Formats: sequence, C-alpha cells, structure tokens
Amino acid sequence: MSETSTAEIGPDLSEVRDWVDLLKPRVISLVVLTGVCGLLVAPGRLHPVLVLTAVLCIALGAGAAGAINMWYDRDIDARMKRTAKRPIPAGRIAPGGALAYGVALSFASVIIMGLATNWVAAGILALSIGFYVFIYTAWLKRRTSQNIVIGGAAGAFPPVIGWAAVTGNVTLEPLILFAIIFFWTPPHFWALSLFAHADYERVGVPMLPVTHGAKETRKQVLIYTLALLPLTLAPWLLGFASWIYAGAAVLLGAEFLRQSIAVYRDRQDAEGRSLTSDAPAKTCFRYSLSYLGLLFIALALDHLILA
Amino acid sequence: MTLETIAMTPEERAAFDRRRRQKNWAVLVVLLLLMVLFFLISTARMTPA
Repeated sequence: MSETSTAEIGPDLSEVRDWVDLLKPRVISLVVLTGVCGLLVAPGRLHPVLVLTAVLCIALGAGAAGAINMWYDRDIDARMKRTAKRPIPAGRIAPGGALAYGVALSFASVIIMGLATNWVAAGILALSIGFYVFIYTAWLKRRTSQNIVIGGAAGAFPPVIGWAAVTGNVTLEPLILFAIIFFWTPPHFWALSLFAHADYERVGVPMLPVTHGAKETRKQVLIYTLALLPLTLAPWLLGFASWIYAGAAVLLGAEFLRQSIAVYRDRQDAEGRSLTSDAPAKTCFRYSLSYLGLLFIALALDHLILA
Repeated sequence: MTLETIAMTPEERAAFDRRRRQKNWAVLVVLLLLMVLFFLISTARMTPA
C-alpha cells in the first residue's frame, strides 16, 4: 500500500517496555534487595503496607535516577556498543521526555516515601538520587578515574533508607551496610571495565583501565576486595548479626577473593591486557552481583531466623 | 507552538496507534494503582502500631 495518512504529532516510537527500560530494572533489583535488608534488620516494626511502599519508593527513586542518567549520558551511550540500543540513543524516546519522566518519578518517590514513612528516609532518598545525578553522572563520571569509587556511594544508600524508614534515624549499623556496598562497588565495576574498556576509551570516560591501564586495575580489584572482606564481618563483630551471617560472609568472601586473585593473575601481556579475552574478569563481574545479593540475603535470613 | 506533520503509511499508522493505546492503558493502570496505594497508606498510617 502506498497510500499515506498524517499524524499531527512527532513520530513517537516508544513502547511501554522502553519506559520500563529507562528505569534500569536490572540495577533496581539489587537496590531493592539491599533496601529490603535495611528494612528487615532495623529494630522496630512498620505496617506491611508501609514496608511495601518504602520498597516501591526506593525502587522508583533508583529508577528515576537511572532515567536522568540515561538522559545526561545519551551522547556517549550512542557510541558505546553496550548502551547503543537504549531507548534514547536508539531514537525511541525523546531526550526531553526521558528527563521529565526521571524528574517526575524522583519527586514522586521522595514525596510518597515521606508521606508513608518519615521525612528522614525521604531526605536520604532525595540525597541518593541527587548524589547519583549530580555528583556521579554530571561531575565525576567524565572527569576522574575515581568516578565509581566516590560515585559508588550513590548505590550504597538503599539499606540506610530502609533502616531510616523503620526507625526514623541513622545509626552505626546501616552505615556499616553502606560501607559494605561502597567497598564492593569498585571491584564490581572495575571487573566490568576491564572487558568493556574499549567502549569507555572510545567515548573518553576515564575509567581506571583507560587512565591507569589494565595491570593497575587488576591490582585495585584485588586491593578493594581485600578491604571489603573484613568489613563484611563487622555486622557479626558489632553484634547485630550471628554466626549464620558470619559463616555466609566468610564463604562468599573467600570465593570473591579467589575470583579477584584470578583476575589479578590472568594471563596478560606486558601492559596487563588479557590474553584470555578477560575470562576471569567476566566471571568475577557476574559473581560480584551474586555475592552482594547473597550476602544481604544471608543478613536478612539471619535476622528472621533469630527473631 | 506548531505541530510537525508526519507522513505515515497505513501500517506505520496502525503501529503508532497500537503503541499509543498500549501506553494509555499503562498510564491508566499506574493511576489506579496510585489511588489504591494512597488509600492503603492512609489506612495503614491511621492503624495503631
């Protein structure tokens, strides 16, 4: 058929799925898990509806920050293989629409959190969104190789938000959980950047393998893993988790350490570039996701069993 | 503000309408869920701990 009709609006190519993809659902799953853990281990009780609302707001806030991140990074996303098919660079969602969507969801998540639980939790949620958008995305990501070290704090807020939603304050315990995620982030992201460095190099994002080389990155993955492992025992040492959690932390940590050593000792050339297509880094990256999830599940189960 | 006029084949127009219908339904579901959520939050906040 060659007949044509006209529509008096722009060519909106987006599907519902594209708007969901803007929220980075895979990232949200880990955010939700750590946030739920904060809600479960906090002393005190919250009505189940308010617990679910708090989880929804944490997910929504993280998704909104992800959408604004995709709006800001649309220029580099279009040039990276890993991100070129995202809704904005692929032309299915207009940049302005994505920004409005992200900002609207940010405000909605913070206001609903405040109304449902308390304004301390809402304030920390707002802080986490602001940190991810302004500190990590707009300021650090394209300027320093330490981008994900400092920016990693943005992803470490959910257990603190969960805790604050129940208690209305922040004490040492949620800060320990914050620190665990904070120290987990560099080895997790640097394992990824070891095998995705060509993408980052092409678009000029100063990830560690681009600025300091693969060899230094391997060393840093190992150093941060070594720093992380004793920290994961802090909940047990400080008495807010039992031997059940401690045992899980040791076993999971031992495997993470083994993976990090494998990354460090990967067969490589003089500059540290992998001769195995970064197979250990890929395995380590995948494991790091399971590691954090299982560690927080262990902590939550520990509390549920003891309760 | 002027609206851009886009020429579409009938197939493109049908796909466009399908996508728009899909999104309208999604917005309706979200609004209804939001209404239920606010009702539940109010009820839960009024329930003694």
